[in-house]
Amino acid sequence: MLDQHSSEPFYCRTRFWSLCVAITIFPLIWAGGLVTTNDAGMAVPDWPGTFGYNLFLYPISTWISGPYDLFVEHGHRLLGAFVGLLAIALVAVAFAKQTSKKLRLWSLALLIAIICQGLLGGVRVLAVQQRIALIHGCTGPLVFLLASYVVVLSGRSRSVAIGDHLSSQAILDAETAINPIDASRLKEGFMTRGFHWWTTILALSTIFQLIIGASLRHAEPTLKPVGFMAITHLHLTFATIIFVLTVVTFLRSWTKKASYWNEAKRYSGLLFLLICVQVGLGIATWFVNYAWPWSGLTADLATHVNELKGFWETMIVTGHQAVGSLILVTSFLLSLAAWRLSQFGAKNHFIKQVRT
Amino acid sequence: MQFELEISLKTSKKATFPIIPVLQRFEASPVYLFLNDGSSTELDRPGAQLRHIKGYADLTFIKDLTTAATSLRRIKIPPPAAYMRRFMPFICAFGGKNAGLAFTSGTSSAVDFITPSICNFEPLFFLRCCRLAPMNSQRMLPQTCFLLLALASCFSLVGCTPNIQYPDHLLAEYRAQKEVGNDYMDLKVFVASSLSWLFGTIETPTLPDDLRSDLHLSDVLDINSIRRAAGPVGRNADGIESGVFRKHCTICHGLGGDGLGPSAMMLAPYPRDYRRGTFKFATSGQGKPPSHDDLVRIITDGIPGTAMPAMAALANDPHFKEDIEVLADYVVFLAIRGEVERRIWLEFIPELSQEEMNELAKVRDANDLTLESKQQLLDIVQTVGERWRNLAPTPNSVSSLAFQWPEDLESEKHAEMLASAKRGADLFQSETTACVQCHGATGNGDGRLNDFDEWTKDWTFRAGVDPRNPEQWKPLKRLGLLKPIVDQPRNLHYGAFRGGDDPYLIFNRLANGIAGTPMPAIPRIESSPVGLREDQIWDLVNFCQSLAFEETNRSEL
Repeated sequence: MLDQHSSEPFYCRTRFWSLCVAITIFPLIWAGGLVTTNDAGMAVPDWPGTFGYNLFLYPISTWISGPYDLFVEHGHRLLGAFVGLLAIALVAVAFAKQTSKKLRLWSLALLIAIICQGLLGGVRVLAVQQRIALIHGCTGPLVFLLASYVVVLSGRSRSVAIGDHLSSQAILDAETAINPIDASRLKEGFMTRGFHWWTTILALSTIFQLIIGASLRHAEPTLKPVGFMAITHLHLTFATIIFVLTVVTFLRSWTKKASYWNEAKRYSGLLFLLICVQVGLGIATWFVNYAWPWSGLTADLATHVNELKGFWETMIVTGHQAVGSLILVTSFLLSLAAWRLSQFGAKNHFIKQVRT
Repeated sequence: MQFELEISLKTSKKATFPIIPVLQRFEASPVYLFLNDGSSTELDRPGAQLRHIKGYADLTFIKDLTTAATSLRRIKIPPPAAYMRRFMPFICAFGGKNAGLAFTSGTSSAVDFITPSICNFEPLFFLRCCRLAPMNSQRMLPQTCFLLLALASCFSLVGCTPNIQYPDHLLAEYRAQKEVGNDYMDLKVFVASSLSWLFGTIETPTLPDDLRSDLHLSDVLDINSIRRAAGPVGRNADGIESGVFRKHCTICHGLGGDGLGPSAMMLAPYPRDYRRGTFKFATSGQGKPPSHDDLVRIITDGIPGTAMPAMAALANDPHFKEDIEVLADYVVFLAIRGEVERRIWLEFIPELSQEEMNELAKVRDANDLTLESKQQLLDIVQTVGERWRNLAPTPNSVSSLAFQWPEDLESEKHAEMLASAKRGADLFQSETTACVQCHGATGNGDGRLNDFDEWTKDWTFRAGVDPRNPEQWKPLKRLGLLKPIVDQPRNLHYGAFRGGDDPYLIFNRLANGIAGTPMPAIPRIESSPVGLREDQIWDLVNFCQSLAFEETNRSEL
């Protein structure tokens, strides 16, 4: 126990750095989305340099005053390099002796993932391959997911370590002794009745949805119209599936009263909110990209003209992608919480009570 | 020997991985246990559940096992490595029928691990394996996530480098094939070689001006602009942008401007097919292609109510201001190239004798083209190119009558304008203009609502195909063509003038018609006894504009 307490500052530091990485990856995803929306992936023809300059030495004035696609692409690279540096700092802190082996390994995995993601971006530029851009776009949110997982790990390592030796029955007994009234609710915590599987299906669906959405964003010019339509319909189908699953998980978690469902409640609530926003953004994205097929319905639709690469058009499309990555992360964290609830929920709850 | 055997693979302190359901997968193979001395022992039907296993195990352990097997009911095999447990569902699922269970411990060398294959992947079995393995979610979820992504990446990389080239003119080929026969399909290589000789490739387009001195396409087209527009999206080391067309237009209009871009099927109206050489919004006169300025205007302003966006932002950005000019040039280039291709299929080839066709069928590249056929091809280019030369906007002789609604409502010309609009209303209802037939008596666009878009008739009704007949439509559908949609006359009350709401542009559309649509040119009094004067057409313009502001003027009209 004493060892665990003495290691707390290190967990705080890893949590800080992992939070820094995760928080910085989100704008990086935004910037990546802007690159795609503005077709700026090839705005800088060389890599890892920028027009012959070292990435960090490219003149700021030229960068700021240059073409917008160059501004976005070079900015994306700079931000990516910054995230890489933050990840190195995270690994350095995590490899302090007092942190768990698991946390160290996952931090290292995160750094490797970020490096691979950067390399993938470089290969996309050097090979001039739209298909690699698609993969780069898919792996970005997964790196974000990995970073979020490290954040969760860094925040939970200590409490899990304390309670590891306790069996669920022992926790139940102890809990009953501490708070007899809450014992029945505690038992309820074990009865997830497949909730964790629902959330797992939801999380996996978001991955597929991500890949499908990226396929639409990075559609090859040689793609047949019927293929594009099939992908669009698949995207809509998965959107429906995800929406339904979100509503189900939201209702199932929010009808529980036991306190250790709170984590699942938070995630499912956030997920529900994000999905609602995402549906709106999805409709808007289609509208600003391809207009409404039924423009004869109203005068406003009939007279509306989309602006190519307009500010709102760009932000809506990029926002749809960025919120998608948030949904992916939230659904996985919800799934993680649900699994923990089914296996260790009572244990964590007990630990919290003991600590308080 | 007969015994009930239940094998489970001990994976950790908390979880046990049952391999029985996995073993059930492998049928028609007896169970062998391989021994240290090289011999093997076959387990004869050890139980209803464990029927088939062809596996390898720790040899010493198995040897002990066989001696004690008769009294054994449960065996626990310690896992060789932690990763075995994590990846077991993947190994079993990917391995398919051929997968063996490779168990090893210590330094045993008698292990033959069968490589999993994506080709054998069976999702349902995979899910079953996952379900049966009580995974530790904290460990498995991120791994599963990464493995799925790796899978998706593998699938995505299949056919990583698509062959980018100008798409074939499927309609022209179809019509040629339909009219004369399958022999025409042998000439595809000839047509492709001819076009490549005349116009280069999609990456490096060329103009045929060097091939004959009288073509003068460079008067109409700037080859530098065309090369900037074509090719993949990017920017060279000098910072010069390329692939502008692919960047902004291909998603709808397609690589060759055939209107069959990836998103085309989802749009209404469908994107324009440049290769027909017909454009709706032109001020250059009846039946003429649009001028450069017309194209620049449409690209800059966009088309209301459609997927065609306004690219004004490019024009206002000093770094991209040339893009619109570049795009306009490339659109003309694609239109000329497409029209030449169409004429080769529909005019040049049908006139050939069978012997000539046989000769051309032997063509494999441009070097095989005969001098005679080259001259004939260049004649076609000259004919098509001539249409695009000397295009200028029609002079506007009565522009003083063009009012700006609703700004002029407060001006001194108000009464004059209302009178003009009222005269236009009478003309709108008259038989001379016949506007009401399509646009309806009230201008709601509810007149004729059962005809197909004029653009599609080239390859439907004129080719003897009724798109409403599924049998007739089927071969065209197989070609990947877009099903014609019913043409909708414009609702004038919306004020949504797709070709532009400038009075001069409306005048031009009334006077010259809209090419490729049922909207006819209004006959002039100079050439027809039942035609209209220019000032009467301006009355109609004012009436059309007044409808858009009907709420404001209802009482006064």
